[in-house]
Amino acid sequence: MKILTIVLLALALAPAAMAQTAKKKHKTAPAPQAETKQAAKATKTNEEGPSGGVPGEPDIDGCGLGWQVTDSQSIIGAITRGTTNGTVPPSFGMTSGSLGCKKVPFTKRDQAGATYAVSNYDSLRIEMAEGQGEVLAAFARTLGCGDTAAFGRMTKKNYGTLLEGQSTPVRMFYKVKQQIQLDPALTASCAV
Amino acid sequence: MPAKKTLMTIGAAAVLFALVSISLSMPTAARADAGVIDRAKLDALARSPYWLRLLHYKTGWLGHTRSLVDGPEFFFSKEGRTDARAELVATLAAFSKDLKVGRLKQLPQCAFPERYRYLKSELGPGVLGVLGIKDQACPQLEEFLASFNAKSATLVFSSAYPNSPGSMFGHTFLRINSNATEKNDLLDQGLSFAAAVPKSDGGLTFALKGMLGGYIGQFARVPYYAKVNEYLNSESRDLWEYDLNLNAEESQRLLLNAWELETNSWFDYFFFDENCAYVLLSLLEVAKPDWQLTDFSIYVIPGETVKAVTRIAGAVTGVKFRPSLRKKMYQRLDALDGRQRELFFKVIGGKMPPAEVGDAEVLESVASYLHYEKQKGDVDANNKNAPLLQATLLRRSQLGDVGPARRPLRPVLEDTRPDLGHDPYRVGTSSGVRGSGFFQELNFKFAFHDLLNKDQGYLRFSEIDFPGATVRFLPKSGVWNIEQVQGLALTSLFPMTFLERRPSWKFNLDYYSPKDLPCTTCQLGRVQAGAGATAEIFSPNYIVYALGLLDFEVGSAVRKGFRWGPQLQVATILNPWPDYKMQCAATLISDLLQADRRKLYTLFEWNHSLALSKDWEIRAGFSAISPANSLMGSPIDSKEGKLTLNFYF
Repeated sequence: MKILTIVLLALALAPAAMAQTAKKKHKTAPAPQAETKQAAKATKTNEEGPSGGVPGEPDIDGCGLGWQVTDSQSIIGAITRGTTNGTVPPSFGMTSGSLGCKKVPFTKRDQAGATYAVSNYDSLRIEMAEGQGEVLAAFARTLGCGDTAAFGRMTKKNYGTLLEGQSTPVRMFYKVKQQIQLDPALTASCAV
Repeated sequence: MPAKKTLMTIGAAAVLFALVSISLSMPTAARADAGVIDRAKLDALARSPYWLRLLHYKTGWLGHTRSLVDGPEFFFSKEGRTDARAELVATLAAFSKDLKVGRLKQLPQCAFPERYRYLKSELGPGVLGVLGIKDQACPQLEEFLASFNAKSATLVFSSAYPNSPGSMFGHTFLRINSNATEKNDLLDQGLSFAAAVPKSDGGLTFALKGMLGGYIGQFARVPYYAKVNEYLNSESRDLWEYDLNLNAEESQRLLLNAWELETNSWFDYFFFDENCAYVLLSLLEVAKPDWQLTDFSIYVIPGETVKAVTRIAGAVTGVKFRPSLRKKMYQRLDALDGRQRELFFKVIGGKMPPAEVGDAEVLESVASYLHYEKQKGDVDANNKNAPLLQATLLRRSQLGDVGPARRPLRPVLEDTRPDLGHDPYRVGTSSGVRGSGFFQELNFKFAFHDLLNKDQGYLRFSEIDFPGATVRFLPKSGVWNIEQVQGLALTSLFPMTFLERRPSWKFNLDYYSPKDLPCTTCQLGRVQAGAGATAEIFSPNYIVYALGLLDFEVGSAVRKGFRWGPQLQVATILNPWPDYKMQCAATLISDLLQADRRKLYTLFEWNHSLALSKDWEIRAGFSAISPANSLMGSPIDSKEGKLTLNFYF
């Protein structure tokens, strides 16, 4: 229905818009920052049941990549939705800790893997159980693992351990790291 | 001593003031005139196509040339938006100064690295030295470039949402391919341009502001995996990846220009022209100075971006398709046999715990289905499904690989590839007979796609038509008649499946010449809206649908100045070959204000369309309208047949 309204209005106003007559003047350069609806939706959907924090694990505070993990470690996939329907993309200024970031809590080495796990949790779990897939291969890569096939075999074999109970992406990420260290062959092929 | 110190301070201030005044009032132009850069060289540089591209100068309809960029901070000169030479002079002047510019408060050459690189290569380091310009370190820029590690670039197009013709325009963005060894596309960075919309802006505000340029367009760098997640999984749209023939240096130029735009300025975002598609093309023109891409008129549709690029010989080196989560799910489900399908329903219905299932294909299908369902964002359903998904995955992990025993998956339908689709504008001519009289018609429309068009590149069985008109000439009486002025037509026919039951719907706004009235040159304004259901008949190529519509018409041709009533349409569309479509529709029309006479009419339509090539098409149509409950002949010329030749461009 929203699309309908928009298109209707588009129709009514098309000539005006095309002629670009009523251009709005922007007084200030920075764009208004706002969350998207989808981000809000993600807040609700990305949690599967209550997710308490795991002691000793850092929070992710995300600026650049658009990540936020609240105190209770619930994950808000705030990757913005840059569709034509419009949203607020993080500007280039908001790059990995250079501006507007309060803290960069993960070690630099873990950042890529942890943010990847958060963003791809749903697809990742499925491919971990199946032991293969592009999403899983990229995850292996973020952990510095060259042998993605061996990595896939490991996640399939240890799926129950890696994702037991009320798992969260961050918890899963640390367990995967742990598991790599328990496996001498993998440890050799990964740069964890 | 204090007096002396004050004097010194004043003296220093005076000298500083003098210096600043000189540098402000006698910038490079003066020095250039004095012989550092000769005037001819400066003029040539200011007129060079590449310099104009860096500034995003475009020539409008009326022949006026100005930059597309709306933020004044993109220009060092006050006249920079319209005067490329003034901007060149001011840019050179700024490069020699210790200024902090833009959002990141950078040195001018860090804020405008591509301008700097270009001018340095054109003028030579010697000349820059004389002008007092020397290379500076730009740590933020370096970090930005390092995050891409650019090797090449890919143009990515997202198709429409299922059941949503309004999104058929799609969206385009870039993926910057990294130079990593054994690279995984998901780990590359995406570069997109989109409108920054505050959350508080709802439908109406959003539409108005979008149309009038009330939003700011911004670039964003987002990991490609996040984009894939967003489109493929959350929104179930296909992605088409067009690898562009860009080398590392050209990709870097693109990034540098994006940096100049994003850290200093903004574009007003217009839905119709200055949108994601147009700005990305403008960036590609910087990367590839010999590509001419932004010659669109009136509006730019993202799908047209792709066509613009594919039209250039050698510009695209490869095309890759990523099917949506929905398509992948159905692909898996379709591969199940009867027994497996039974098992599948038992598991998703909670009648059988996944732990008891020994068939990996069934479990994978269940996981795929639950993944797809989860994207719909129904919190309660997801909480309910979470343990089932977890149990399914756990069980799946305990079984071996499906391996070679796996049933072959039917190839996913690659029907959304945009560059193979017909062009949006249409012009056509028809010859036909109505009753006993011949007629000739001309039609034109701006966009986009209707139910009889070949669906390649578009959302299947859906329609979105923008302004267009059809005029009819009757040679017998020498009369020209407006047959139809189309405002907007939207139709979404979404075939129901055993898993998904979504309504189909239709909306139509037009001004047309009614055929049930005893007049040949009268018109009525018409709004119709309604919903119904669609089903496939044995194959995805054949559908049957029923729609209940409410119709409201205004005009002096009807007695009270308006009429209204419900309508019921039952129709089928057969699409046995991609190039041919046949539609057969019967509509029962009521007029609630016509109490004294026949209340019901039936309209029968039988249409064929044959795509001769991407942009040529022939249609044949027959229609008949008659009072439904009258055995007597109709007082009006009720039957019509016509043959149409359409060209898309």
